[in-house]
Amino acid sequence: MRRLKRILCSMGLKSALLLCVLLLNITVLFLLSKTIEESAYSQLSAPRFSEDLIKEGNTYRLEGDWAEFLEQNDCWALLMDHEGQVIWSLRKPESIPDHFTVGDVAAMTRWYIEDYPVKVWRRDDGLLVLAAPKYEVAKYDFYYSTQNMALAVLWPPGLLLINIVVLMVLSIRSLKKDFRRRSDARTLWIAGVSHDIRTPLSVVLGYAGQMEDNPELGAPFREKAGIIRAQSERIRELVSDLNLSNKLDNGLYPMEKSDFSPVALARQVVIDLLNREEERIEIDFAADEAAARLMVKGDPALVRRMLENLLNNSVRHNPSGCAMGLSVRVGRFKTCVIEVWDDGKGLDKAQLRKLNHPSLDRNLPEHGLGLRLVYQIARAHRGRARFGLSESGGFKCTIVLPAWGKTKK
Amino acid sequence: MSDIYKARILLVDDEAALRRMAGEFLREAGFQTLYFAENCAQAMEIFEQEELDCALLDVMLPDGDGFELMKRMRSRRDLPIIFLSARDEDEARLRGLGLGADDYITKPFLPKELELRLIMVLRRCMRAPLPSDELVLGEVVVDWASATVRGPKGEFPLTAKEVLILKKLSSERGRIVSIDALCCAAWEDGSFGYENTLMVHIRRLREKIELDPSHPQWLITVRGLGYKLQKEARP
Repeated sequence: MRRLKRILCSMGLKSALLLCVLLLNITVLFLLSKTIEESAYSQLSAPRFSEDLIKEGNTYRLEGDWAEFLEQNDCWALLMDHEGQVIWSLRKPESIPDHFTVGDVAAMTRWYIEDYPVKVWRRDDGLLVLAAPKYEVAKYDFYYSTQNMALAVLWPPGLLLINIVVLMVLSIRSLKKDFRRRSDARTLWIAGVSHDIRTPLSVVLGYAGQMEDNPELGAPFREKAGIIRAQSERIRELVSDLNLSNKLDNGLYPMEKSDFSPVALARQVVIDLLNREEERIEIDFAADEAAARLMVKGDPALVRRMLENLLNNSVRHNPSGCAMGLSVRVGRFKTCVIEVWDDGKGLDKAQLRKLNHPSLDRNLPEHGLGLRLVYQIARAHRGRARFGLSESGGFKCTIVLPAWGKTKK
Repeated sequence: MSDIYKARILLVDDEAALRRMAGEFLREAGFQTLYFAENCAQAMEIFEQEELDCALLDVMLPDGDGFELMKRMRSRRDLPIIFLSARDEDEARLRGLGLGADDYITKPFLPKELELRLIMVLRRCMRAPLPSDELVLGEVVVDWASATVRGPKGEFPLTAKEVLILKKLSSERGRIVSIDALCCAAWEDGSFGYENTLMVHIRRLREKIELDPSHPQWLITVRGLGYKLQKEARP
């Protein structure tokens, strides 16, 4: 019960209401069919009654429990010969005449005899008339084109189906809207917070950078300023990773797709990092000629971010330095395979598992959002990212992206 | 104006601490004429009164947004504009729409970043000539105007492609320049198919500017990535 309550709560009041309408719909249909079934008029079966009314000489004998039925349900019956003269009757009210004209018969077959709804049945010896209590049923003269009549069989179930579909669409839409509203609210919140962090962080970063470069300050102070600067830069990365990760999760990132050469892009990422670190680090870059011909369709800024995150990750987690490499090659089915590796500390199995299956990880990724983002960006490009260990036991990430080849000029 | 440091620069941001920090830094970097505004109204007032050379605009301002402000300024007079943005959404707009801004910097930024971007925009917009008409590589001097190399080995003319490549390298002297960027500079096209040609040009350049072309001292190959023009060793 609690579960149901939670489900209803999560679906929202609107969806619960829709469900009620659906139930009502079914109930009404059910009741309607029941009422018609149970009226005396519908149980008064003329052919069966006629079978049970047997002629014996000049009199008639009624078999079965019809007499009881008529009694209980306040019904009556009569039989007239071909001239319209009543030759047998049971419980016939006095107001009903003993002789009927052709006109009377024509009227009763369609409508009523003095407001008694009747059914008639033709027999060899005349016409059987069965009547239900006055006003019990309303009879309508009903005709319909034969062509459309065939379709009429489909109407009630069809209408019900349409009803159900409409209700389902409506409830799914309202569910989606609910979800959308919640994720929009979260996205807005994250964007707002990150915006508010950025301006003060500019000031911190600015002054720390200035102090670090100021030769008048002593070396220990400059070193500390450098640490403040580096940590502020980490906050900056974290804020933008958080923002981007959330947007990719909710499909709110406006991808700007174009065709680009993954080799040229990877090369520039490596060069930018080398230039920034002023060659304190070394990165082995490898791309063969076949790879140079590859083209990838996607958002170059995102792919760039993905490679930067991987390389920065290697630099940050191995402060005493390590060998690093980035390679681009052509994979199976003409995919672009990018590998980023180092020979540093690497990760243990549990951490790798969490990285490779983010859906299993309900907590915030312990290795920072940077690698989670690598996974998301690869996914956004209909590719995949796999985290593992390099040959030397360090960290390795293999990214496979759909690609196509460019012909030689 | 040839001296970019004499440029009149307006900084518009609603955060007083940021204005102060950026102002201090730009002054230290050598920019002497700085104006500050905290909202669109103030910015327009200064814009009307002063002959500004460049504006740094925050995107979110208390009385409007930076994009609007740019439109209003540009409708009067064309001037280089750099945006300071704190929102990713703006980044997407700036990157995608080509609003006509000259550059943008996302907050938080390092002062050095701001200085570099500002100098690049000013140089481009004020068409300031390269800091010198010569490139000095130890005993060898490259004269851009006549496209010649003078050194102990004699005087050599440079071909048009060699000038383009060398200019690109010297504009980023001390930093690695990718093969793709060099090909782009020389052929205005993607790198593919030109890599081998580039290697030929580099070899010929080395024959002209290096004393010992097989052991280059200035034009260094960074394997698989690109080339680098070494900085002059400081005494």
